[in-house]
Amino acid sequence: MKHIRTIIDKEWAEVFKNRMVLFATIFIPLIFIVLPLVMLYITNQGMDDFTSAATADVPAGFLPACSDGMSGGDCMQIYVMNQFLLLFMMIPVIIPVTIASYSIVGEKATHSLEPLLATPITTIELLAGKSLAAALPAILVGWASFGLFLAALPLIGVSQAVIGYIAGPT
Amino acid sequence: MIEIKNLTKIFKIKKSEDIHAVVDLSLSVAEGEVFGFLGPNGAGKTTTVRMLTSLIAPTEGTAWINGFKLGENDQEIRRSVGILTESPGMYERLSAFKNLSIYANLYDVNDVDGQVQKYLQMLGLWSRRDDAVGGFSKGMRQKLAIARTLLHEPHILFLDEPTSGLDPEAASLVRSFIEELSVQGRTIFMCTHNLNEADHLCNRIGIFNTSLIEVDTPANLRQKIYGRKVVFHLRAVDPKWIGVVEKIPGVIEVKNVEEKLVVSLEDPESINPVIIRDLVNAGADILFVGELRHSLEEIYLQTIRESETEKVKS
Repeated sequence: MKHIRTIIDKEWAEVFKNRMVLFATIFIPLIFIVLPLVMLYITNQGMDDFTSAATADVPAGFLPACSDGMSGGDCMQIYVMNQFLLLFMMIPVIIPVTIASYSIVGEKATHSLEPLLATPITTIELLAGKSLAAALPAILVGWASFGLFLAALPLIGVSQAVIGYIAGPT
Repeated sequence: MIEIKNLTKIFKIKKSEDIHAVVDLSLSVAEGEVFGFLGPNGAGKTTTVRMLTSLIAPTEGTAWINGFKLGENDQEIRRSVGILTESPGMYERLSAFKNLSIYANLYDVNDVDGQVQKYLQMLGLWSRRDDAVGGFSKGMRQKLAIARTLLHEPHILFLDEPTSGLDPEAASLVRSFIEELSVQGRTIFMCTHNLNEADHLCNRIGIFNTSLIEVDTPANLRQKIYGRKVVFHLRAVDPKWIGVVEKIPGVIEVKNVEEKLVVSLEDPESINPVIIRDLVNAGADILFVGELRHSLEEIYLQTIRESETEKVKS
């Protein structure tokens, strides 16, 4: 366990000093938070214009999600959000791939893999350490991004019905 | 100690093409010995070190490192040896202290901070401990890599080109440090292209080109390849003095080289006084007498050339 912790510590100390990794870990999730918020804000601004005609633009297969007396605007926002929520699913894919690739490239470029393999660390410990070092920040950033997104929803005037739909199981 | 038995490594590049990197290497390195492993580029020296430190598996044969068998006790082998790789391989964005702490933890060192501090101070890097390694000179990186090799106090050290690319001052410092390690009784297996360094530091030398060609002490190798020669510097050489020296029992060959008599003989300590006496009696003015000492470079080049010629013949 100590070896795994050491590898995670090393990976984070080394990899997070790389600008590309920092970009992928901080900037991309920020874009993924801001983009749907902007879309919701825009749809919210035009809420008054939404009528049953706007509801008619929502695909028929999606209409069951717009139950419980939701307005046409709410229904449209939920429909739009369903497309954007996929972005949050991409965070746990983009971040580990970036961290892992820069970790391997870094080891290769600095020839540090050979001295590392010459230590008594086992292959399983090394792989576990590297995998966890790549996966844990992704999970953390994924949840944090979604939390920030949820926290920002009331600030742009999104209705409780839409927030409830987004936060609830979909 | 290191005991190598018929170690062979074959790399399969294509179905029809195999590269024989190391062929049937058998060798013993005693405890506390500094062994120089010499050979041209591509001879298989680094491959041998990689096999002996259990980084790659041999195709055939085995070795015992510190009593642990290769392929059976690889973890114990890695724990008991220190390896200085050809390239320092440090984490450039991390500080010197952090770099060493990582390795100290991986080697399960008890007092991580203490050991790191000890070796950073010993190698004169303590004042730069918090600086990122990316800003270090090549010599400083090499010193840091040596510190990493020693963190877990291994009894056996594998040093691959320890002074390669260093300026004379840094190289001299690294050499002094290797000497110090040798005095501490550590076994050192050193690959180097610096033949003066090998001559100066190593108790024994192995000349290797895919397979082992010669193994002995530098002094014995000189005698084996060139025999022992004594040079008599004379004021002038009279051709008849060559005949005088040739008649003395134990003299193998006499040559006149630029007003000097170069005499090949079996036992200079007992025959030299006789030669000096006979030359003086014959009227020669002897200015100086000294043993002709071939450099390790000459021995190495001669050995490699002979092995290449044999390879071509076979």
